[in-house]
Amino acid sequence: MPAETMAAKISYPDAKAFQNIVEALSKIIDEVSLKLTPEGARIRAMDPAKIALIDIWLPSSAFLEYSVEEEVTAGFNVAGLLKLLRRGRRGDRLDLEVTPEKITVRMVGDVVKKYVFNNLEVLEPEIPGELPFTFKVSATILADLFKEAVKDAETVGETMELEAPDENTLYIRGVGAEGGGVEARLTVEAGQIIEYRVEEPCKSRYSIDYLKYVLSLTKVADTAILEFSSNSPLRLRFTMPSEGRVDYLLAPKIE
Amino acid sequence: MGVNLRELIPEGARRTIDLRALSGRVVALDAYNMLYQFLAAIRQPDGTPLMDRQGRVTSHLSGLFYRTINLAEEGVKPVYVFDGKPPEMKKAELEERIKRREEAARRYRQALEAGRIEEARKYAQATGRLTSDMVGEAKRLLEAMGIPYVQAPAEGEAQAACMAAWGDAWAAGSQDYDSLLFGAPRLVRNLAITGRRKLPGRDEYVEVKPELIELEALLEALGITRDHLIVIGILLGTDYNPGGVRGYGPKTALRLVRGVRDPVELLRKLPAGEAGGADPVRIFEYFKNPPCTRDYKVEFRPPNEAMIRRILVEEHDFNPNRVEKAVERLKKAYREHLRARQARLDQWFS
Repeated sequence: MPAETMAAKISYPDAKAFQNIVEALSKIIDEVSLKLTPEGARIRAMDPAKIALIDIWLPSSAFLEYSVEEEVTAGFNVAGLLKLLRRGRRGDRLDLEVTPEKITVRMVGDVVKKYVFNNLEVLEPEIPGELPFTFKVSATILADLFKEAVKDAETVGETMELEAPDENTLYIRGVGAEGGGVEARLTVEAGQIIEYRVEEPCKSRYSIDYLKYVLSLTKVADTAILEFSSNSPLRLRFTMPSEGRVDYLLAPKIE
Repeated sequence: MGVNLRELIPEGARRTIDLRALSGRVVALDAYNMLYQFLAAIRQPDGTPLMDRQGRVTSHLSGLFYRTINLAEEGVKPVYVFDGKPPEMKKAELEERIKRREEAARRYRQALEAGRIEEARKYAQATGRLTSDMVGEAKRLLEAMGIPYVQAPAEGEAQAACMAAWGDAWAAGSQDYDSLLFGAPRLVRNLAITGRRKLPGRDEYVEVKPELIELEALLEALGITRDHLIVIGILLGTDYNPGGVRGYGPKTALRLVRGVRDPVELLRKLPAGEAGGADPVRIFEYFKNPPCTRDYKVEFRPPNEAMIRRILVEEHDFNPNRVEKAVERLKKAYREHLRARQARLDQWFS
């Protein structure tokens, strides 16, 4: 077979985990490209309003089979892929075969379900390779704790405020429209914050709607790392037990 | 009507975008252009506009109210720019518009009498006339909604272009391409009609999306400057010389102008009367340096619910439940997008 028609083949152990990642993607973008290199698989996508960015990295070691000799891109419609992933069952394996023209998806469980898509040409978003800024605060907390805090905040309003006043405390607040609110106080000493770095006191606000988009990722990761500075983007990092990570970068709301 | 540059704009210089792509952006909207589109589109099947119990037309208020809320919900920050006194050289075009409206009204009545409903609707769309009372009501409604508006000294479209060029707005919003001639760095079209629209005369629908045209990209693609573009516009016909110059279509005009160092010289050499009786160099100067004011503030305020209710429900018989629900949406949009500025990531990337 000539090199240009060689298919890249990868096999991911958990189709449901992949579905949770695609669920988050589907909230911010219609089409994405999955870039396969010999080192691993990467998806980077920014929503049309340029408020949120998802950066997914799955190293080759996270896969059961990873046969990618040279870089190849799989462009697909996210809603279409999600529809079929939802047909999968817990424990199913996900196989992908990519040629420049076609993407073949197989969900392998008790039965094998095969789907073939056209490999779409998807414009890459204009995103710098490395972030041109750093974060003054970094807090590692349980992913479930983060999920609960977002859901609590949602009961009072549309904005979530993060405040790191010192090296022990992190406030996660829901900011109500008429000045009311809800507050969760997490501390290092109570064990709610697993790791904490605060270079200077910081406070910043973010859209709860946009935070809700990635709650499905709390199912694939045990912990979430929250990184932010005052009136600056928030980076949420979800590290998966099976290796790989998802970064979600969200622009702040400035009043 | 404005200059028609559509055929000249290459694919690479025009982009269909999602409304969300304008989130966080201030867009200076040509208010008359928007209101006329509402007057044309918001009608009953036989072409009758929406009216209150006293027979006063309310299509413009309905469009302005609900469309502005839709835009704000997507994070777009609209600023409406109203026309001032039209320049003397627009007189012929304005007289022509009155004639066209009268003719459309005549045909509308005929179609209606003959029971040709679809045809009646088509003609009715061209009969809409914006009175000074209607403009005043529109401004009052914007005031109540907390949405800023600007009173232009002359052409609203020119003022919107100036605001975009000065950086007070990200783009000008209008259906007409004149904004580009007036120097708007970006023009967003279709904002009054974005969404699912019925095709005229057919039982089919299309999804209309905003269209973004960037002046720099356009000029680069055509290999010309803004001066060249203005001259092309004058050759094709503008509101100040409606018929244009005989013998020039888009391609011929571009061919003639491209590569000419001083395109205004071409206008000077035109035989007298060739530009429909108007002085083409004066028209050029008007596009190049239109009268614009800096006396405005782009400031969003909380919606005044009682005032909105008074204007729409008490004065103009709008459905109170629909208005109430829409006001709730506007209040949320104000908190989410207009008061709090949702920043964009590209601010941190550049």
